[in-house]
Parts: sequence; C-alpha cells; structure tokens
Amino acid sequence: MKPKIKTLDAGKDIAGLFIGIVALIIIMSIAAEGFLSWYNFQNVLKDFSILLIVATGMTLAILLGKIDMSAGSVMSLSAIVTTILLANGVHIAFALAAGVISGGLIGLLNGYLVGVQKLNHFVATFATMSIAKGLALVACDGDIISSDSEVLLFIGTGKILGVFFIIWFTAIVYILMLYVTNRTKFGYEIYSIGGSEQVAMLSGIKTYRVYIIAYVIAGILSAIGGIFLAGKANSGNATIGDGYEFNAIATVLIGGTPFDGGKGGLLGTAVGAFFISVLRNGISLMGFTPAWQYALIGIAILITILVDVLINERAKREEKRRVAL
Amino acid sequence: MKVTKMRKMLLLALAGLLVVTLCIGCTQDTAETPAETPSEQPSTAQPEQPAETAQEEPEEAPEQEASGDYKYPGAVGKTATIILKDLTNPVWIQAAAGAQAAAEEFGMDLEVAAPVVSNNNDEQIQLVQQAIAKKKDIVILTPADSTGIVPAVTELNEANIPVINLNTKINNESGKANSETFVVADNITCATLCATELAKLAGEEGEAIILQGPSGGQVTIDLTKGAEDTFAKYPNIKIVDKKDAKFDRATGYSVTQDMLITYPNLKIIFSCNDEMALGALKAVEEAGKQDDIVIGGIDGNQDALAAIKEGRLDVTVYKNFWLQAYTATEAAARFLNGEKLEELIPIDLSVVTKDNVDEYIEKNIEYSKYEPKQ
Amino acid sequence: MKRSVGFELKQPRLVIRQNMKRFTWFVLKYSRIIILAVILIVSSCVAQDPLQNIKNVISLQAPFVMIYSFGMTLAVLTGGLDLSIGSVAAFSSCAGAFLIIEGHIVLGIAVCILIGALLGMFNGILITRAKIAPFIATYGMDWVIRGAVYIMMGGAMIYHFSDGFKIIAEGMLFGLSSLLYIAFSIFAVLLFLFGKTIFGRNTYMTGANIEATKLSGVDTNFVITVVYMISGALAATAGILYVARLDCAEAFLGRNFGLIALAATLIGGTSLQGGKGGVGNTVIGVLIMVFLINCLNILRVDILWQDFVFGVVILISAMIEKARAFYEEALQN
Repeated sequence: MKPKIKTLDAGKDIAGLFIGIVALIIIMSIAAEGFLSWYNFQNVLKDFSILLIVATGMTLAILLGKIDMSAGSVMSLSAIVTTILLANGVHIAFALAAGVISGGLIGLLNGYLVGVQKLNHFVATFATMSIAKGLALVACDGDIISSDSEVLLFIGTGKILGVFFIIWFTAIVYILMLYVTNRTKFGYEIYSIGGSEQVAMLSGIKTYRVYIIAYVIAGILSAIGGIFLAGKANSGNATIGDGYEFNAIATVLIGGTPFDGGKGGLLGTAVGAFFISVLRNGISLMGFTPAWQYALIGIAILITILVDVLINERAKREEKRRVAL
Repeated sequence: MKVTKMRKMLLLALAGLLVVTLCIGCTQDTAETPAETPSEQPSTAQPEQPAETAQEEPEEAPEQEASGDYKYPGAVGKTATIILKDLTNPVWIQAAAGAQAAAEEFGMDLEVAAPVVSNNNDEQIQLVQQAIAKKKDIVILTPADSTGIVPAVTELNEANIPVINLNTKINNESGKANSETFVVADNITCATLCATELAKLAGEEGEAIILQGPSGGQVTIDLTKGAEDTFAKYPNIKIVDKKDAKFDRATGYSVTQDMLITYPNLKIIFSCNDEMALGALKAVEEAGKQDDIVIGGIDGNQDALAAIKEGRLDVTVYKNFWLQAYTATEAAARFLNGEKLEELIPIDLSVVTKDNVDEYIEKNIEYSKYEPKQ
Repeated sequence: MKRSVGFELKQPRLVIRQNMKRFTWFVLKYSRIIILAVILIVSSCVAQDPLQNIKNVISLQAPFVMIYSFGMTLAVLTGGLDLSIGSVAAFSSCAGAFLIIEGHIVLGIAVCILIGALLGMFNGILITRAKIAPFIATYGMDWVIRGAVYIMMGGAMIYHFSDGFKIIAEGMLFGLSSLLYIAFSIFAVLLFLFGKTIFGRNTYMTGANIEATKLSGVDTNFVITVVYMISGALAATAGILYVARLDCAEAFLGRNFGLIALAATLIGGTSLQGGKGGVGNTVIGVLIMVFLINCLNILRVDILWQDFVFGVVILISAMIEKARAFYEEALQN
C-alpha cells in the first residue's frame, strides 16, 4: 500500500519563510563580514544539520499532535554514554551503538507512557527529560569526559568529498524520513493520528504502535544529534544538549508544523532549521552582543510565526471565496 | 476582518521593533548616545562615576595625541577577536571593557564575542569558526570547556591564526591545540586562594560546604577541585557537602537555609561565585549565625565588594577580569609586533578581605565602563 | 456524583470489591497530601531542628515559588503555558528597582507590577489576536524580554535598598515572614476569582473547550489575555519580592522560573489539556517540590541525583492522576 498524502502546500505554507530567508541572506551578505564564504557556509550547514536531525525527530512527535521535551536531555545522555564507553576502552562501534540505543530507550519509555499509558505527552516527556538528564549526570559523575577517539572526532569535524560527514549523514537520514513520512503506510498513520486520534483508531490503526515507533525514532535522532555535538567537541558533558529541545520545537513550528498535529511536514522543518541557523550565524557575525542577540532572535521567531499565520489565513480565505464562487 | 487588521498591526509593530532594535544596536559604534548605551550604570549604585569619567578623559586624550604612533607598531590596524565565556555577567563585561581599552591603546581592531547561552562550548566553537571566516589576525580565547574547545583550536592552528589562551587553560594533551601563551587566571588558583583564606579565618578547622554552579560544567569542576584540594591540606577541615545552586543568588539562599539545618556545626561556606555567596550570606544572617560561619565567594562583583566593606561577607577573590583581558590583548599586540611571548603570563589574582577592599572598589568602578561596538 | 451505588448491590463480594475501589480512589485522591506528609515526616526525622526547617521552607522558600507558579497554573488552565515568567520577573523588577532606589517605593512597586501585567498582556495579544501557539509565543517573548533586561542593566546591579522597601519581604508577623502572608493573600484572591466568579468559570470553560465557550457567547480572547496579564503581574510580584528579600536587582533573576513553575504545576495535578486543576493544586505541588528539594538536601543525597528524582516524582504524580481518573470513572458506573 502506497498512500499518497497531501502533506504540505510547500509553496503556500512556508512562502513567508522563503522570503524571510532570502531577505536574511541579502542583509547578512551586506552587513556581516565573512558571511559569504564557503568556509562559513559549510559551518552554518553543519550546525543546521545538527539542528535538523533533532528537529526531524521532533517533527514526528508534533505531527502526531504531541511533543518531545526530552530531546535535549537525550542528546546529553547519548553524548555521555558514548564518551564514557570510549574512555573505558570499548570499541567505537559499540560505544556509538550504545549512545544511540540509550536515546532509543528513552524514546521507548516516552512512547510507552504516551501511547500505552495514555499519559499527557507533555507531562510524560517532561518527566523523562529530567530522568535522562539525571542519568547523564549520575553516569559522568558531573564531570567532563574527554575522548581521544579519532573516529568520534571525524564524526564531528571530518569531511567526505569536501563536505562535512555530519551534513552527508543528516541529508541521508532526512531524505529517508521524508520518504517515510510522505510515502509509507507508517507516515500515513502518523498524519491520520495527528489529524484525529479517534478516527485513526476507529479506522483500525494501532495507535500505540505508531506512538512507540515515532518516539523511538525521535529518541534515536536526538541521540545522533548528541553524538554529533560530542564529536564536534571530541568530549562529552552532561550539559551538552541543555535547552536544545526548545530550539528544535521552535524550528518545527517556524517550519509550519503547528501543535495541532496532522499538518505540515518535514519539508518546512528543514526550511525552518535553515532560517534559524542562518539567522544566528548572521547576527553573531555582525557582532551583536549576546544581550542584543537574545532580543533579535526572539523578535525574529515571533515575526516568522506571525507571517506564517497571516499567510495561512489569507490562503484559507481565498479558498473559501473560491468555494463560494 | 477586524482581527486580521489587528494582526497586521501587530506584525508591523514587531517589524518596527526589530528595525529599531537593529538600528539602536548598529548605531552603538558611534557611541554618541550616552543616554542609551547599555553600560550606563544606575546612578545611585555608582555615584562617583561621572567624576571618574571627567578625570580620565583629559588624561587619555593627550597621551594619544602626543605619542602619535603606538607602542607596538606591528599590531596597529590588525584585527583580533576575543572570545569570552559570557557577556551578560557584570564581571565578564569588565573583561570586554579591558580588552577594548587595550585595543584602543594599541590601535588594534578588536571584536568582542561571547556565546548567547553563557558557558556554552558549542557556541564558542561556532564563534571560533566565525573568527576564521572573518580571517582575523589573532584570536584571544577563554574556553568555557577546556577539552571541548580543542577541535576548534586545532582549526585555528590549521588556519595559521595565532591563539592567546586566557583565563582557563586549553587542554593540549594531544598536542593539537597550540596557543602562543597562556594568560593564567584559572579557576583552580582562584578557588585555592579563596579556600586558603577561608581556612585561615575559620581557624583551620570545622565543617565546610561548597556551593556549586550547574553540575557538569567546567567552571564548577575546576572551582570545586581547587577548593577540595586546598581543604584537604587541613586535617581538621571536612567538606561535608557539595550543592548545586545554579550560580544563582536566590537558589544559593534557599540551599543554604537547608544546609544550616542539616549541618548545625557548619563553619565554612565556599561558594563558586559571589552571587551564591551573597545568597548564602543572607540565609546565614537570618539564622543569626554570621559570627560562627565564614563565607567566601569568587569574582569580586560590586555588590560583594560592598558587602565585604560592610564586614558582612568575609572573602572574595578579585579575578581582575579587566586586567586579564587587557593583558591578553597586550600579549596579542606584542605577538603581532613580532615579540616572542612567555609561555605563561600570570595575572595578579587577589584575595579581597575587609583590609584591602577599598582599593578594589575603586578599581571596579573604573573597570565597569564598557560600550559595546556593533 | 453517584457514590451510593455500592450499597444497592446485594452480593457481599461485590460490595467489598466496591468498597476496595472506593478506598483506592480515596487514597489516590488524597495521594498528594499523603506524599507531602511522607516527605515531611522523613525530613523531620532526619533534620536536627525540624520545626525551624519547616518554618524556613514554608515561610521563606515556598512563597516565592508559589507566587510565580500560580501564574503558570492559570496559563495552563486556559490550555496554554507561560514560559516567559522568569524574564518578566527580571525585567519588571529591575525596572521597578530603578525607581525604588530613588526613594519612590510605592510608585516603583506599582510600576513593576504594571510592567509585568503589560508584558503579560502582550503575551495574551500574541496568543489570542495573532493566534500564535502559547508555547512559542511565550518562548519568543522570553528571548525578547531577557535580551531587553540584559540591555537595560548592561551588567549593572542595583542594591542597598532602603529598609522601608525591604520590609515587604523581611517583615515578620506572629513569627512568620510577610512573604507567607503575601502569598496566602494572593492565593485567597485567586481562589475566589477562579472559584466563585463568572470570570473564573469562563476561564475553566475556555480551557476545557474553547470553541464551545466561544459559541456560548464568552469573549475567550478577553479571558485569555486577562489570565496572561495576571500571570505577568504575579511573576513581577515574585520578582520584586526577591529583590526586596535579597536586596539586589539584577538581570539574571529567574532563569529557571519557567521550568520550576511548570514542574510544580504538573506535580500539583493541573492538567495541561486545560480546564482541570487550579491554584489549590499548585499550592500542594509547590509544597511537594520545595519540601522534596529540602528533604534531598537534608538527607545529604548527592546533588547529581536531584534531576532524576524530580523526573520520577513528576511521572508518579501523572500516573496517580491517571489512576484516580480511572477509579473515579469505575465508581461512577
């Protein structure tokens, strides 16, 4: 079965964002020294990729009409698990696998609590957020774990064919997830549950299964993001992913996937992540102090969302008019 | 219809706000708007400030005119970036001021950068990469995470940009993160100084607690290590507990209340910054134990110095951020001028007690003038 | 409530089962108070000076948390949440402090609370008029306001306030701090406002089902905006009380207020779907939270475990809530 879903009128829903990005790039090229260089562009893309891979997992949760507050803590946890195992002489392959699995397990717990126990998604993931962070802290004993692994360093900073490994990897995962959400039965189920859980259940979808799988994927992707961050620093600490869940959620919302679920999709998330990465890089290059950056980032987030809302409204109105005619 | 109009107005308002913010932010380099510059201090907190400025201006102006050329000709017009750990905390703003003063003195084009989320290693890596993208001549770096910054320093080395290491040592075990010099003002030393003084004041005996910053951060780890190692030298001093008070005054206050109940015989409170120390002080005073307990902080911010002057707080370590950044920038200028730098440049970290506090209060006022350039 | 159902049944075994059910339900209903009692007993057994300890927590630590958590709770009641309370507290208290240090105490406090309410109103407008989801609207505002307060203060602090101002947080009455009385009065007002008035009922209805409420003629936009204004004003109140208590206004105040308030609200059992719970729940939630931290401190538990324990408690609380709902339904059938 290959259901085709109309996921996103990409042109309409995120048109504002596109305009925003173009405007942003033009402003930054003029105002920010060093913005228009291949070196800078690659680094922006790298940070974009880390944000995107976490936001991809988050998109699945939000498409289901849920949320995953544990993303940032899972990043810290996987970074710590990987680096601790490396420091204890475990082979890199197992260390990486363990890091990813730790994320998957937290995801499984999330999925179980939300899908089977039917706890409120926010409460459940808020709790696992603390639990994952706590586990990370306890595991590393509040210390920074350094690694001397060349492989981990390569994951964080190495290049293949002149492009960062992180970018390649994220591109592959992203395209895979794009396929999964838009072209597979599982993707269809996610959208239907997000649209209406009742209807989805009545139409015979095993909702708990979808929740568990989606949260496990989200956990694994966050864990990979954590490993990327650990690779960038070639060390792990328990604060590495602090606050990342908020970044990811903001990214998804800016990308035109609202909290209601069942609307939007991964395409917008990528555009949103690109917008945020370029924005942060640009205003930082322009030399704003952190205080100004705080204000500017906040205003930019609000404006983007507001533009999205306005454009959606107009599209809806026009549609109504067309129907009336 | 009405609602949409409202929303459009809102959008306009927000966009206007953005433009205004950008404009104010951008026009700061002209620095001709003293009323709006963020560095303006509340008048009552620093009554002497206007007088101070008036005194200093005539001093500086003739110097520059007279010398005409600068002390280190090789550094004039060179571009530099100083990457700090934080730029929202008053003490780090002093560092920015120090770096800027030095840059003006030596004719360098200096940019001050710091992560938006304080002490964030990943953002510091990004800032390093931005400095590389801007092809800076030299980078002064205060790593928030001495291990995690290593790959970024390697990148700087590969790009042939010299690095001046300030404040916290870059962990160069692998030999891939080389810096030209290390301007030493590290937290382990600070903690050692503070703990030694505290031990002396407490009569070298008693129970001690450590108030930490957020668990897992390097600042916390270093300061705790310094304090633990120092207290370990005194057989009669026992560290009974370490608590995370988030570098936050309010949290320091409530945690200390609990600690006072848990350890009635507490004699020493070592706090990883002044904020928490002042919170702890409040709790101790309210419990009426100010005569039994000695409290020490680190940083030397205005408020803590005032508390020491009043004889409430016992010790702080004046980290002299202004001088740190000034010295590091001078080292950068010297390096660009072709001089060979010493491996270590120590900064005078001083223990502040009631006896010498006046000196630092004066210094502090002078050092707090920073007008960010955009 | 059809509680008498059990007595009409004739088979004794069923009656017993029914009574068991009722007992479980009863335990679950008051489980938070039981948890609180357990924590209290444990910490009192271990603490050297249990009375002083309880007095400390209740009159010095809990009031702050309560005041700003009330704001969060109200936002949650309408089905939203307010992540900006920390920065609102910082911004408005700093702005007020500028006036207070000049000697205009009453004016300063009024300005502080007014600014808090205004910022809250802006949140409310973003949510109701601009139709931005509360999560992202308040999150964005958090960045903006935090930036603004950093810019405003520029690394300065304001300290050494007059005694006339400090008395609002340091005064004592019958051996308890004025903070407790302030928190209690706010609680009483809110309890009345949201329990007895039409506005309160509208708030609950808006949270439970916004569309239906709108159709029934309630101006939900007004309700939500006012709720966020109250939330902002409460955050500002907490901020100014902190300033008075710690004798220092600074830009970092309240960086973790949002998450603490959210945790307290959730532990208290206010539902994030909106319309269920209330400030009464939050009082218990806050007490559980501060006494739990206190208990961990007193038991000398390693600080690293704190996050973990917190997560588990939130989870347990959510499970209890779910089980209670289940038994309630079972009893009613």
